[in-house]
Amino acid sequence: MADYEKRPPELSREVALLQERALEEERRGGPPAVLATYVRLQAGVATYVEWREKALCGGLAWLTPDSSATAQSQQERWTNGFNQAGNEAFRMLNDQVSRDDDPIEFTFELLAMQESASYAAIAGMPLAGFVGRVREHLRDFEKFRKDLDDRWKEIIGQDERIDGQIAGFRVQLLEMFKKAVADARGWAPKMESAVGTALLGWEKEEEPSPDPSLAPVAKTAFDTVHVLQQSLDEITRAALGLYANEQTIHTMFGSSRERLKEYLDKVNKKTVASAWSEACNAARDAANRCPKDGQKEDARKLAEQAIKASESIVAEFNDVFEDFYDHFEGTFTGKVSDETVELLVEQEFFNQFWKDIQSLNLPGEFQTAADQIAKCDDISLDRLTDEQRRRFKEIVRARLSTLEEEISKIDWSFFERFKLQFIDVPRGLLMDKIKRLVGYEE
Amino acid sequence: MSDDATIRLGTDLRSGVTTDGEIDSEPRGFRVTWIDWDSDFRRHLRINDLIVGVNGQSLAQFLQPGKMGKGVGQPGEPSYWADIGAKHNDSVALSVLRDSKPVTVEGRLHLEYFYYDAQGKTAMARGGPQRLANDGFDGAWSIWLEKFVFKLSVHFTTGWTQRSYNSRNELEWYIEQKPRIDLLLEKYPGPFADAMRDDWTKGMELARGKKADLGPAELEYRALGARRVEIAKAEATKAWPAALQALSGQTMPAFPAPSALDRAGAIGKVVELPAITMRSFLNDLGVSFAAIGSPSDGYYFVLLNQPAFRELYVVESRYRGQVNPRLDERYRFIARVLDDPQMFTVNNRPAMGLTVEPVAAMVGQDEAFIDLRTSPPRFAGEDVLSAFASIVRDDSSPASVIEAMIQAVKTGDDKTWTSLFAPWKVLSGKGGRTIIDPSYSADTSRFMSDWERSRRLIMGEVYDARVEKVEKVRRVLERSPENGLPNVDQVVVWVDHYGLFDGEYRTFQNINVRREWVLQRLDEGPWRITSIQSL
Repeated sequence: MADYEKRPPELSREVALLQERALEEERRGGPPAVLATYVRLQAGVATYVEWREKALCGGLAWLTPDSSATAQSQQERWTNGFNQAGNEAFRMLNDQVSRDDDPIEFTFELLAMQESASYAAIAGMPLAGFVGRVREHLRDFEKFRKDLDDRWKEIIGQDERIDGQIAGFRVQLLEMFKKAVADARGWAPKMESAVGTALLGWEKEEEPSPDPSLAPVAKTAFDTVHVLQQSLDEITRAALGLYANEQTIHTMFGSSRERLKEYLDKVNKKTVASAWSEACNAARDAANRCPKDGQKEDARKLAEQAIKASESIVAEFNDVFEDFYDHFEGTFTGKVSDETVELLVEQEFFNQFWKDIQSLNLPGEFQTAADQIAKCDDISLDRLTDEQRRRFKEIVRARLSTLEEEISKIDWSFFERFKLQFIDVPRGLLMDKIKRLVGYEE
Repeated sequence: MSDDATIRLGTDLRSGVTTDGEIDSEPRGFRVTWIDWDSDFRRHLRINDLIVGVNGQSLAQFLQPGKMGKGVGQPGEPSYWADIGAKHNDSVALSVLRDSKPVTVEGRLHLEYFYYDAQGKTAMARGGPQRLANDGFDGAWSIWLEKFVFKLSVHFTTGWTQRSYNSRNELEWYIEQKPRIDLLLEKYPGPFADAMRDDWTKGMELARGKKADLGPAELEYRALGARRVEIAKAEATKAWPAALQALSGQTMPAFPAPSALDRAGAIGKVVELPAITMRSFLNDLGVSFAAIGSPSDGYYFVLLNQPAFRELYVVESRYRGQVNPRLDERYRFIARVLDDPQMFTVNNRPAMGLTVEPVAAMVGQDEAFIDLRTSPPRFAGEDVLSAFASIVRDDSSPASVIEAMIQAVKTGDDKTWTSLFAPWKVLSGKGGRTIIDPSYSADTSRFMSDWERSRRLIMGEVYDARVEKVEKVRRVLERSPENGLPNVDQVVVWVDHYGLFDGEYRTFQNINVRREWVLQRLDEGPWRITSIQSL
């Protein structure tokens, strides 16, 4: 059974009407009706109808996109195809009556124009263009997926390279802290030894000075603290440069999210559904522009078949879209996930690093060293006279108290400041910025 | 004129007017194709007037198939004059449509004139020349006059509308007639000689064509792709190093490109970038950009959505329209480095680079230099080259559509040219009815051959083409929704083609050019040219 069966009876009816009119003329005394003419015309109509059926059915194939289809190429196939069919229909119907006169010729001229108009209406259905457009989107998603996978690897790779450089600083820092602790732990024994050496001098001489033997020890302690402060400042400065680079990588990550958002704002399940709905409505409207009822019904059927044929690409798009969105959710789509933030900022690693530093208990070690230094005057002075004992203690006390005083005067805020500058603020800023990066969210 | 020895009157009453009956168009009437030299109607009637009535009476009775013979200017007109009781020297008032406007023209009828010379021989006019004499020329005067009248009648009526009419050949023919006219004036002075001279002069001027002054601006298009390109190229060659010189304090070597991670020293600097083609124009997540560089040397990116590039594109389009529509899509940039590092996919691999803003560009084979530092930006040489008059296209005006077609041919804009032709076809059925094929699609090979032919003409014998006149709009098909038919309006636009003859630009007509352009519109939509034809 033919798919497009509503129009053919209208065409046959027109020929039958011509025949009836001719017979009526004959009955009224006009020229005899030549029945063979109408048999020929009906046969011609049947040939045309058969051709039309093939043309309409075949036209649906123009909806199937090839891999390189675009909206334009696909719509051109459809439009040109149906316009050419209309052209051919116009010619076929006019040729049927090339040897006939009015009213046959007039009727077939009208039929030819009606048919041509119906093909022109069908040619204007935009579903092929829609299908081609979705095919373009699908190709985009395929390419974007590969590009973004590669990009994510590159971003992480770049980030890790910078983190590697920062890790170098961390190792350096830890070593420095460990050395400072070791140094501090040595101050008291050294002082004790120095005091002992000074005492030996007192035992041998009347009025020797203890100063020369105590001074280098005090200087070592001061230098340790000073170098520590200076190194922390330098490392912080260098680290901030690397943080800026890291931030550049994060900015590029953010730009990619933003560009993808702009694209997905325009191309998503909703916009495609809406475009499809518009194309379906336009196809139905186009069918209604056919001049005759039978043509309208056949064109509506064709439109519904075209709509049905285009359903699969919408479903394919939805699947691809969802898969794409899920694949990148947390990185390039949706909110930036904690996992992504951690990958980019490595906050945990830094937290651990600080814990390691804290476990060295640098301020505590310094205080212990100071306390131990204070005990350096508890030394046996039995071999000294009372007067020597009093004066020796006075001198040692004076030197130790100066050292104690210097150690106790150390401003441990630099330690906190370092944490703030090296870890808390920059890492926090990076984290905060990454979390706030714009992206497409469903 | 009185009856004497040199003139005798016949029996048939005549107007001395020759007409063609027009019954296929509205309004119907008798179109004047000639007025005899001795007709009183020469005073006020004009060739091409359409006679529709006499003394207030319609001539409709004669304006039917098979009944035109007795109409004014027709062979059987004496019967008509007799029927209305007219006599020799009676004045009649002709109702006439002149350029579609009604006019009343008076003139006296006369009995047929027979002329003789002093020797009593039949003559063309009183006093000669004799009808059968030739005065040393080829052919007798009577035969010459017959041909002369026939030619001039055609020239004054349908001549310029016929493709077979060759105005320059006809001009030569007029020049060849000069000895006869001179001899008539010298040897047979009088009203006949004067009329011949006047008709000859008028015909010759018509064949010579209308004169136009075409200045450099009007003719500039002819240098498209040649002299204009040379001028622009010469200016571009100077402008590029000048721009680099002017920016020398800010420039840095382009490659190796600074790393996006170590860019502080490069921000704000100017780089001269190597040429790229369209292969370097890429798209990343829907954003178009040009990538300039390589994986080993690093990349610069030009974002196509930035204002500087959009301005560049506008100037480039103007250059294509004004100088060379076939400008190669090859670009070199002088660009400023921006603090905007990007990661794009280039050749299927992620690449980091710095975006740059074009400061100047060289487009094509070092052909168009576009300076984006000026406001508004211009291409080098734009001040030197005359600009074509811009055409404001109005598709609701048939003349505007034809002007756009002519401009497209001049500027080599085949896309615009193709878009001006109708995607439908109205034709005449076997019974003469208008029928339309709404799904008509033209054979694209026709477009190509007629386009190339048009271009050859505009670069060859045609120096300009202008709309001469637009005829009245006619509805050729009435809307019929039940049959899917739109209203179809049709109009004819006549185009004058100007050639160069003896140092003057004048209109001409020959088989190569198309003066008549038929346009149609559907349901009051845009006017479109109905037949694919060359200029």
